[in-house]
Amino acid sequence: MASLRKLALAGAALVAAGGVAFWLLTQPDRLDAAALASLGAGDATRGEQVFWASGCASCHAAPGASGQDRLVLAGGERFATPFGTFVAPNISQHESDGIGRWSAQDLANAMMRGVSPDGRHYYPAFPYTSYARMRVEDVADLYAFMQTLPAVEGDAGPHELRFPFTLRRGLGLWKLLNLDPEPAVALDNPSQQVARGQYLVEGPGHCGECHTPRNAIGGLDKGRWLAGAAAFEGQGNIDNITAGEGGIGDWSEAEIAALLESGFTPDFDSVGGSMASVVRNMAQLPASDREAIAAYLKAIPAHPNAY
Amino acid sequence: MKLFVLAAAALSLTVASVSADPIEQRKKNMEERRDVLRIIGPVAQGNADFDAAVVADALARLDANAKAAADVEALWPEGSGSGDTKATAAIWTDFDAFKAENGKYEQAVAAAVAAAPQDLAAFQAVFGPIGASCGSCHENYRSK
Repeated sequence: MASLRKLALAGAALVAAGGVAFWLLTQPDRLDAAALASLGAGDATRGEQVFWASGCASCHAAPGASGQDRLVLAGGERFATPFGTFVAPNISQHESDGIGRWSAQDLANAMMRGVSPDGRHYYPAFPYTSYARMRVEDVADLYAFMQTLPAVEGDAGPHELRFPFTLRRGLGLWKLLNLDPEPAVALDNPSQQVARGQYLVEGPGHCGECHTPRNAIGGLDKGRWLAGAAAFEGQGNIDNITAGEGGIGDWSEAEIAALLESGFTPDFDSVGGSMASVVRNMAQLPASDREAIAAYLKAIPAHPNAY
Repeated sequence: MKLFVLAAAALSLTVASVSADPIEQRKKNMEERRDVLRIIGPVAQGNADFDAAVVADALARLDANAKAAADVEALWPEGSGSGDTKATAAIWTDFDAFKAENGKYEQAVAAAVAAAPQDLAAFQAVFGPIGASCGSCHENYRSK
């Protein structure tokens, strides 16, 4: 009897220890003070470039919006995934429905650590595992630019997820496995141009979020970086953009850069779906950035199609 | 003789219905566009020399091709969104918007023909809206 009680006590202690461990492991982890200290006053003009490089409008503006409407960040677009449907939030400057009350620190913690101002985890449909590789200074510039954008009324509404994905706290464990600000691929002595391309593709551009296959829990398989994937959201496959079989090894750097500007493949098909929106973002960048992306795509390891 | 006419009519009906698969028809129309763009796309990108006659001929072909797709209801009938197609459901949730998008392309091509560009800069100015309308239509109405 006594031993049974001991066992029960030990069991309870284990559960409690497990609970404490879970609590500690899943704690939202913000940027450290040193990182936040380099958040100076941003430059809105430079921030506009960061805005287009980061593709904010592709999810947070109305689908198919063009011109000034791409700066109306009311959210509401729905993304159906195996975990449920994610709804892009309002990130306009509206004080209650958008992010009008956020500080630059709030934006940096959200983008680079996936933590909300009130200390909760964001779901990785928001590509913070890529944005984690951004320079804090770029986020400061982006913040300055976003403050020039309109406030739009209207809460986009909650995500519609299946249990247990409704439990945000568990994302802390997911982040331990998948949130890593280190480069996705190791490049041997990259040129300045290739390094710029790496920053744009792996960081703000978040190309890997669609072009890299995911494992069972939705983490990116960096061993097959940019090798194409079954669409995680929507139907069909996302193309392999490495030089491996089924990829774009026979495209020149100029052809890759031309696609990013005009949407035309070397064969003069015009890309569609969400890539058309990406092209409209990329077309806003200086030609040197599109060329840097092309140079990087030529420098990364080649993989055969991953889908 | 009567029988022959009837048989010929029956045959042509069969032929018409075989080629009337809207998915195949619209794909063929799009492939024609691509074939013309292979000629003038590199010109616009500065990778091939500008020749006013070649460009005029290509634009005329593009114009005829666009007009051949003007009957949007026939090429994208309700129910033709499944099968070997990348057409998205958005086409049929707001068909008028889709028709307007198609019209935008047709107008951009017609404007390019009317402009009869005589140098590269003039051609690039009218080619820009054509390419942009390819992208904006594919963004919403083609899955990839």
